[in-house]
Amino acid sequence: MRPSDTLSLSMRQLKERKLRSVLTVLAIAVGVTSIIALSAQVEGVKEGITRSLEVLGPDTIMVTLQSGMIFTDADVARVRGLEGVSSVTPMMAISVKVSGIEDRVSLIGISSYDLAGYLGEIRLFDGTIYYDVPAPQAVIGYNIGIDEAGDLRYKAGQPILITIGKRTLSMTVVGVLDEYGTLSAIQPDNSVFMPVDYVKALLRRGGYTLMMVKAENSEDVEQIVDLIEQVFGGRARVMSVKQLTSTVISITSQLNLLLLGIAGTSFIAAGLGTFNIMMISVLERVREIGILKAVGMKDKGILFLYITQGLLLGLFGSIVGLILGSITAYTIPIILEGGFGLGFGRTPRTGLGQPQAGQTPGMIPSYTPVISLTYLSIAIAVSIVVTLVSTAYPAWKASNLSPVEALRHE
Amino acid sequence: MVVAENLSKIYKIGQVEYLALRELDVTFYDEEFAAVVGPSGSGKSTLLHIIGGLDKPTSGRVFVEGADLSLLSSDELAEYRNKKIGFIFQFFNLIQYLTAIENVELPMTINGIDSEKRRSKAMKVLEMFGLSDKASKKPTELSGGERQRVAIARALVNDPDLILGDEPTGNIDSQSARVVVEAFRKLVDEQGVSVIMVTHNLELTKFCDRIIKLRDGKLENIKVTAK
Repeated sequence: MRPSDTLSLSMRQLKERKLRSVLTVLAIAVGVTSIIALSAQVEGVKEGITRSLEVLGPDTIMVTLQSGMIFTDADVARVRGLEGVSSVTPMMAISVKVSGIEDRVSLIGISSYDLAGYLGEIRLFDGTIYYDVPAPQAVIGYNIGIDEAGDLRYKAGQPILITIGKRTLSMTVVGVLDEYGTLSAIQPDNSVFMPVDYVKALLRRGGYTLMMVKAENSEDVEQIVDLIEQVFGGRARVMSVKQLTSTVISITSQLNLLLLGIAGTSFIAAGLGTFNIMMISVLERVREIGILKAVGMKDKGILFLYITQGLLLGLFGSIVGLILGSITAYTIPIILEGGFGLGFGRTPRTGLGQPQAGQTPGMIPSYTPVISLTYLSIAIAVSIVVTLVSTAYPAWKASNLSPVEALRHE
Repeated sequence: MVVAENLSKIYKIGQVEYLALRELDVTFYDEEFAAVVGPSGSGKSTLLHIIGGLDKPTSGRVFVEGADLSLLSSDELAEYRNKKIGFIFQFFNLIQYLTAIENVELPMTINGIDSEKRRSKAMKVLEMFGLSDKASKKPTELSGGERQRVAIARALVNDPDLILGDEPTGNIDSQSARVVVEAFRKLVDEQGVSVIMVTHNLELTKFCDRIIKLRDGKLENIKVTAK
């Protein structure tokens, strides 16, 4: 029998039991969908975080304190004096309310020079950057400056009301930043930046809540981390971008393994379903198999006929799964950002370091899902292998039926 | 020529053994229309199935054109059924989801013949049986007589040497039965095909050259009809 005829006969058999074939295809598609959709989230988060860390550079070390504690100028000077340290950027980050914005945002006191280093490059949507004078000037993040409709909520030159604790103060917006994307390490879109000296004076605190340390040489980062830890003991948390990056990668790989495990379970279910369906299909067609044998079809012809059906189911399952998986992959972040009131997504977080008191830490940073070719191939390969394996036995059983017994079958 | 030698077939149903054929010796000649008759359980269908390569004897041998069927592998038997034999069953055994012409094409499809060639051949055979207008109908849309004619067309499409009919008229009206048997007679007379037909209907045996009667798996008698 020609392969094209085997294919068309297989298609005819599958079409004859349309509903059942469609359900089997869907069962297989579930596994493919879950692998593609879920791995795209993990890969997207990983890529987003690593990209944001790359902006800071591999020579960067973040030093934060436990809530309520501050770094003094002396602390900053000590870190600056450590061997291998190229620069130290002290910052003041607190959680504040901005009029017109429901959620709390981060107020970050930082010098204009350090802001450029912190963001990688300064991109402004409107206005300009502030001068480093203790004046109530603010550069606001994209999500604060621009509303959901894409219109300017605050223009350069306009006042903005900021509530710190019980005090509400009026500041002048000098610039609105472009969109940087809200990521887990840095949230510039949900932050208000002001000259550090003004913030210190405002809070009547002679210190900082975090320090961004740059190493002269990125190879010395681990050594500097050790030195800073020795200086502050258990008071400070010291994290290098390098460490963060490798932590992110290791967490996401573990997450991916977990996801593959979950998807694997659905594949086992789909495989058993396919096995069951193919067994029923063979049992239902015993007489037909007898007819095919009576008119001269060889055992291996019957075997190929049923294997082809399994392959077709796997292939259709993969295609449907691929489409559903891609749609789901891009829908999940929208659902999460829509939030269902869960406090995910657009909830602004503190720009850096740990969340401040009274603020719900954001659990899922916004990101763009990445459908990776690796997981795509794994999903398709597994679905085809699963259907082939679960079809093999029914097909073999069909091919070994005695023609006369098959014909007698009622 | 088909020669059955010392043919026995034992079926085991649970613990009970059932003898379908008992050391049967029988010969069927070329270009002959032979009827195999006998009461139910006399082994008629079993004999036909063994000759057709659908079943294997417990002992004894069948020679077709001098070749011993017991020596053929499963693949060779499939090829034998495909090319040398045309099988016609009481319940037609057409494939429900294929059209009449696709059913007729099936032995050629299995044989790997290209679609254009098999379509024209199948159409020719259907025309022979006055079924060209039913070519695209599914078996469920045809009458019993029409279905059996489609089944005969399928049996003939690969130009077999031997047609085996297992009660081919058992499930159709007498008018259609007559058409079928006359068609067999014509095939033997005009195309030199051999036909072995198992039947209960003694009325139809008058079209046959010889009537082979079986009882309890043994040959009871052979009657040569006067045509």
